[in-house]
Amino acid sequence: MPGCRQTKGKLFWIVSYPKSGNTWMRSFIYALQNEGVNKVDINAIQTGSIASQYDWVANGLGFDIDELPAQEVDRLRPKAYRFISDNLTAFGYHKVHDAQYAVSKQDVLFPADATQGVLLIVRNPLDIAVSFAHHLGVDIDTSIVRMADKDFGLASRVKGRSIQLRQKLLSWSGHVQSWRRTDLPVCMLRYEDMLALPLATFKTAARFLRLPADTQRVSRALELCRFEGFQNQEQNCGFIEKSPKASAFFRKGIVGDWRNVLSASQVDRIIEAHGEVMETLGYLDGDGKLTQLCG
Amino acid sequence: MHQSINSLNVKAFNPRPIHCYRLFGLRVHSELSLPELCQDNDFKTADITLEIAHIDEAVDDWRRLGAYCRVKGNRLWLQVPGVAVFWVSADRIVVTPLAGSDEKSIHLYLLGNAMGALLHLRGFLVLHGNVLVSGGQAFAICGRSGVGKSTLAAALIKKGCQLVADELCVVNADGQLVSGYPEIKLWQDALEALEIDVSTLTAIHPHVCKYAWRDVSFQPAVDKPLMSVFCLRRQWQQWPHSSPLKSVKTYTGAEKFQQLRTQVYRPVYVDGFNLNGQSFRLVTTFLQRARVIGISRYKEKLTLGCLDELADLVMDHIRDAEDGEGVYYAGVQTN
Repeated sequence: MPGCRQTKGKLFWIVSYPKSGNTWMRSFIYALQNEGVNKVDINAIQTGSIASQYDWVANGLGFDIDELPAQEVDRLRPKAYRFISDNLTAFGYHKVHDAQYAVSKQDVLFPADATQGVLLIVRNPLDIAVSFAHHLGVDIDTSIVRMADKDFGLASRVKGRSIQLRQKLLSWSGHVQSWRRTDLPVCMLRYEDMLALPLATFKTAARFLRLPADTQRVSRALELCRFEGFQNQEQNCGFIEKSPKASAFFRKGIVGDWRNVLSASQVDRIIEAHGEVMETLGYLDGDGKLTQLCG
Repeated sequence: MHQSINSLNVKAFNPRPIHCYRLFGLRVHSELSLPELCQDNDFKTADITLEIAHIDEAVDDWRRLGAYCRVKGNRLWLQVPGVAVFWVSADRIVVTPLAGSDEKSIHLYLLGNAMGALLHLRGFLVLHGNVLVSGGQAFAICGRSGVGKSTLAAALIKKGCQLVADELCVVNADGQLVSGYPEIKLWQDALEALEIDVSTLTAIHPHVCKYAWRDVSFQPAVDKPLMSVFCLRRQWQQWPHSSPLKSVKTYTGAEKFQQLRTQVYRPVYVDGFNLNGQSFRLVTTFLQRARVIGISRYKEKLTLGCLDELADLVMDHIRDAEDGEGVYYAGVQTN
C-alpha cells in the first residue's frame, strides 16, 4: 500500500484539485464514521473543517488573522495545524484544495508533524476542464487557461475578505506534482478508478485513513453516497459548497464527458500543458495517446 | 483577583511620555501614542496601563490556548509573529514589538485581541460585535468574523446612527455599555459598496486593503444598557430573488441566551481564564431584557441596495422596540 511511513500527526488531508471527487470521498468517510445513519445529508458532511477555513486556523493560532496579508497567513498555517494536531485525541479528516509548497525556509504549508497522511485524488484534466468551467461560471477556454496558470488560486480577492483563506492551486500539473513530491505519506487514487472499481478503490482509501475497511461497511457507505442521490438532494435543498457562479455542483460526475464538449484544439492545449503529468498518472500512454482511462 | 505583573522582571525601554486616553470607560495611561483613541484630560491614576517593555519570563509551563497563545492564572501571553508579544493582565498590557513590525499592526492587536482579553479579565461582558446608538437606544450587530458586521454598521451610520464601538461590544460591571474609539475597519469593497471615498482613508496594514473609517458622530459616553442584539449570519444558500435576507427571527427564553453566548468575544480566552461561569452570569444578568434578533443573509457580496435593506430592517426593529411593539418585515420569515 502506498504511504506506509510513520508520522505522529493526527490530521489526514483529503487533497484534490477542484472538481476531482473530494466531496464524494468526504461523504464516504462521513458515512463510514457514522454507521447508524440511513442517509448522508450533503449539507452536513462533518468530517472536519476545510483546511482553509478562517476560524479553524485562527483558533489554532490564538489570534485573529482577518487583517493579515495572505502570504503571512500562509506562513502561520502550519503552526496552527501543528497545534490542532497536538491537541487531538482522534484522527481528523480535512478537505484541501491548496497545493503543497514551502511557506518559509523551515516550513511547508502542510507539515509532516501535523500530518497522519494525504489521500490525494486525481482526475483526468480533460474532464476537469469541463467541470471546472461550470464551477467557475467561465467558458472552457478560460478554464483551460486557469488550469495552466501556475499562479492560480481560490479565494484570492484582495479588496475584500473571502469566505475562506487564499488557496494557491498552482497549475493542475503543479498541484499534482506538489503533492506527489512531498515527504508526507500519500495514497493516490484516480477518480476514474473510484467510478470503475468503487469497492476496491474505496477499501484502499478506508484502510489508508484508518477507517473500517471491510466489504460490508464499505459497500453500505458507498450505497449512501450514490451520485444520483446527491444530485436529487442538491436539486431539492441546494448544496453548501456550490459556487455562486455554477448552476449545480453535482452535474454529471461521469468519465469522458470531455468528448462531448472539448474541441480538438482545446484537447491539444490541455495535453500540451499537462501531458507529462497525465502520462505519469496513466491518462496518456508512452506514445502520447489517450488511454482507456479517459473514457 | 488578578496577579499583577509588577513583580516580574520587566525591562523597560527608554522612558516614554504617558498619553491619557479614555477607552471602554477606563482611564488609560499609555506609553504608546494611539491616535485612534479619544484623548482624555491628564489624570494621575489610571485603571489600566499600556506599556512597551521586554519581559524576561519563560512561558513554557503556561497552558497553551493556541500555537501563539498561552495562559497562566489571570495572565495571557499572546505572540503575533512579526508584530509583537502582548502580556495581558487585568490592569496592564505590556507590549514587546518584534523585529519588522509596523505601528498599525501593533495597535490592531493591542486594541483587539489583547484588549478583549483584558476586558474579560476585568469582569466585563465582551461580545464580538459593533455597537451603535439610534434615537436613544443602544444596540449591537454581532456575528463571526467576515459576516459583514462592520459593513452593516457603516451602512447604519450613513443612515444616522452613531458609532459606540467597532469589533468589541463591552458592557461594564454596572450593566452599562461603554464606548470604544471612533473608528470602524472596512474592506475596500465594502467602502466601494457604501460609496465612501477610499483615497482619503488610512490602511490598517501596509499590505491589506482594509481601511479605518472615522465616524465623526462617535458617542464617547453612552451610559445605556444594551437593548437589542442583532446576530448576523451568512447562510450558504444563494440568493433566490432580490432580497439579501433569508430569515429574521426573534429569540426568546433559553434559545436567546444560547444565541448570546455564541457571540462572546474569543471564548477560548474566557475558557483559558476559567471565567465561563462569570461569562454566563454576565450574559443572563445584563442581557435579560435585551431583544435578540437573528438575521440570516444570503452568501452573496453585499451591494448598496442590499445594505440599505438590511439597515432598514435593523432600524425598523429599533423603532418598534422604542414603541414596545413586535415587528413584521414584509417578504421574509419572521416570528
